[in-house]
Amino acid sequence: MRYASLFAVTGISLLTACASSQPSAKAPGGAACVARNDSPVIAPIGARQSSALALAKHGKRTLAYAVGADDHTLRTIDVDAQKELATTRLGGSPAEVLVTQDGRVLVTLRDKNKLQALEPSADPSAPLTSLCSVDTPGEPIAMAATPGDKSVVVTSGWGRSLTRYDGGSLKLAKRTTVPREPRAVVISGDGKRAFVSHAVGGRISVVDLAGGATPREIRVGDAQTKRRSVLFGFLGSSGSDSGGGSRIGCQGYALAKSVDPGGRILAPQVLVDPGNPFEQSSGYGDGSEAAEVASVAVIDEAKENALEASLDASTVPQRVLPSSTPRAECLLPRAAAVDEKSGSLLVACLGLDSIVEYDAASADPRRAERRRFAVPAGPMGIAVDTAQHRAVVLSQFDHSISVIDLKLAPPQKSGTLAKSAVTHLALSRGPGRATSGDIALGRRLFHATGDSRISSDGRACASCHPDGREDSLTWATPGGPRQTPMLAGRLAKTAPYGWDGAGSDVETHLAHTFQRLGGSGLSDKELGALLAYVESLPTPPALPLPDKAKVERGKALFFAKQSGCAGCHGGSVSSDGKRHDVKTRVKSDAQDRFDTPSLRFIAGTAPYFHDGRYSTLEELLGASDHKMGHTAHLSKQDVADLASYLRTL
Amino acid sequence: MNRGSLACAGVALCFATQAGAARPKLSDLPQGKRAPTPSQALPGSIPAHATVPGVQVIRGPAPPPQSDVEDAIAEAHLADSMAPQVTPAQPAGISQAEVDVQREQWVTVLPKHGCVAQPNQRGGSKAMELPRDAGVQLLELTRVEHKQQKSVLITTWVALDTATRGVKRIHEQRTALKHLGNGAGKFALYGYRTADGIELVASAPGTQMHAAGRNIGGFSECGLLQTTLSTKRSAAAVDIGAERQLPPTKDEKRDIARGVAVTTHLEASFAHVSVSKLGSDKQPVLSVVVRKESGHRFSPAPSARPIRHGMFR
Repeated sequence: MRYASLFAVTGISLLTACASSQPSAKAPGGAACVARNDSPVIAPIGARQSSALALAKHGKRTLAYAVGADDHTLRTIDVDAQKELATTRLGGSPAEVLVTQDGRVLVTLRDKNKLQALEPSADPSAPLTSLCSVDTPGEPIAMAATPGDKSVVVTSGWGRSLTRYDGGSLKLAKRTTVPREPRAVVISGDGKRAFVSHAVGGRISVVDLAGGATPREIRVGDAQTKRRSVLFGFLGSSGSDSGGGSRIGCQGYALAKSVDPGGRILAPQVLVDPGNPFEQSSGYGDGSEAAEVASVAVIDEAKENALEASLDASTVPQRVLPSSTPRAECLLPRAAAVDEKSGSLLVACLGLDSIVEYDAASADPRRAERRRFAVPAGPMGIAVDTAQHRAVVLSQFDHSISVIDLKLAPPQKSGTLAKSAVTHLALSRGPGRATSGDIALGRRLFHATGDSRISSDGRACASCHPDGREDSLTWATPGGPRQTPMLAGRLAKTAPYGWDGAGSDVETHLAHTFQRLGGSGLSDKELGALLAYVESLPTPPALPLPDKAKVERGKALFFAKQSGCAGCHGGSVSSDGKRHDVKTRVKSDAQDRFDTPSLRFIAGTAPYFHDGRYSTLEELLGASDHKMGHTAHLSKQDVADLASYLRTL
Repeated sequence: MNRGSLACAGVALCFATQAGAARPKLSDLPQGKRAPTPSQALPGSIPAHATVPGVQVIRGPAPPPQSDVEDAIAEAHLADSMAPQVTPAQPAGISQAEVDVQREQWVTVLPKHGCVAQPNQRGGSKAMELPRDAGVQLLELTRVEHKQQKSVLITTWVALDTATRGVKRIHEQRTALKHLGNGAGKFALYGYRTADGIELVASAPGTQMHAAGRNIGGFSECGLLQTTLSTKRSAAAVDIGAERQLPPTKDEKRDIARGVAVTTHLEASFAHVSVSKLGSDKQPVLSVVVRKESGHRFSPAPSARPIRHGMFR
């Protein structure tokens, strides 16, 4: 409640209109989704991509539509009057919102696998009317519109998809499978390609919207395959590459397009050095330099490559001067927008709870920082109102909206962030997850970057566990190379904890983790809150079964005595809670027995094994015969069936 | 400035950021070229009475700086305060005979403004020592001059006869500069373009400056730093940092005199300059961001008298 003095919660919640807006009819797209108003009541402002907040012009008013992921709402805010006007209840947890040129408001319902279309009435203080909702692949998140809003594309995080819908009817046009954890999406200037960021994996996918099934890939960091090949060399063949120095892109949650100069797509992220798997380390990573540094990759839209200078993690400005202390970096970027007037890139930085302004024209925007603006906790969405030269920010944790006056000159005296340019509006709070109490505190702690209680180098829990999942990286640790485990849905009843099973309970394991990160540790209350939050993390949505018969065959193989899978991975959490020697000890492993991991949600957590040596489930099943279970007797089809079953867990 | 005698018990830099003004374009920069070193033969000797305005040559090595805190004050006014008759004090433990020998063996060039360097040497210093028997040497002096809101980089080559301390001007080149930004204190960034890149000139009298980038590095303690960004590659970037200690306040001076621990106030400027050309760019795109920060460093209690070090204290 740092901004308590600025909040006026009570009055707002009583004054605003509130109504449930369930879809009148679920439809696979069609006439029901088309705008009903002959002339649009609202007009979109800003970029044609979604965020957790979108701006629209309603007559002379500027409205903001802000998602309420915690209480399943969409709020309408009058930006000029700084007043909350209406609350529209939704049928699920909204991720992002996009205003279309025909005056509709599209919202992705992340937990329901739906894209919902709504429409405002002439009265901006009335809740929006739902037009329709259409099915999407698992976990829809971000949207972008092609020129003229002819098409709308949607990323699906767990569903690993980019789906194109007709802009008017929202009828499914095309689905493209993309790599793990897609997040933000922007459309190329010619409207023919979509650029998709990924929360993990260090890549930007390029999808041809008209044709071409296979997306192209732009690396935004060193190739992870290189890192893994280092590990393979370490395991068997000669490995001359020490593995040091390479960094992998991560936290790719946001994208923005530069306007002047054009042709640049800006991708805030972090560059991660998980350390040398050849060697035991004292913590997570080598520890010789920061394991994670902020980065803004500059993507050449025409050439489909990343500007190498923007991936240079070697120098930060402060290190140019010997006595200066590096400032806190943006390690959890969550949203981005470009201010056309100043040519600035504005990045919403979770943990830092700031908007960081960079020069969008720089070859390495991370080093071309212009200003910072402090905002309430949990900035998740940002949109720029070019006409008024201001930015509007949604802070999810503090349930508030901030309006940043980009015209105001920065302070000339030292000692403050650019606070004077920012005004805040507290939003009403409905009942929901993480809106108060321990879970709310735990969420802040989970995303706290630069907190010396958590780590000595600025890393937050969410740095390695984005969205409570995992970063797909194998870290050098004191015990050897270790793959980051998923937390969401995998914590309860899975003791002991840690790959070596040394933590008999979560508290013990967390204390160990903080120690490895160089953090001083949390109080009992804070630790309890953190655990409450982690245990409350939503699990990924269930994915549709690709082939029921195939899955059934795989299930039979999984439970067959000859295969022996269920012997260790049985039960409700797919783990026997014991340690086993799986005959894979390598030089830097401190011991040869590993805790049986839960297999829940294994479909989305590649690469596999405690050291991440297997890229796919099929690879793992084919290579681990007699080390854990028996698969040599299985045909290629059997292995595929078994993998299909595993993907349903 | 960050000498070993200053222990960093605590450093806290805070922000005083500066939004960039309208972004300069590459075409806004005046065209110029890096001055080639004159190839003409140097005179065999130069008479003692030959002088060049703004260039002083003294007998003996360069006078060492004062204590760290005093540096902050002294450096800002160094050029103006230096006089030809500089005769530093005799250090403890050094005999007068040894001092006399040193003074006989060396000469020191002290430009009134800017830097002095050997030809083709990037960087420079605010004072250059040469052996008395080095003969006639070609030296390069650089400074930035401002007149009628225009800035010019002046590169002057002089011949110095170390035996006579006579100085003769050989050649001078003036290059128009575009002002790109201001930082803390007197930090200013300028640039001009060449056929294959951008020449950056950072000026900050009384500070130490560093430049760093991929395949780029530099250091200057003479208040002027030059570095090059190539436009031949798809992108190039450099960071330039300047830092200076602010003079102690009246109270802090009193604390220093009493031997009480003091807080040293710092003022830093950071310039990030990049040039990049992507597939859709017709011309390379220039980006300049200059930011200033301030901070402080806790220093242990100094001795009541400044620590004396060097040959001539």
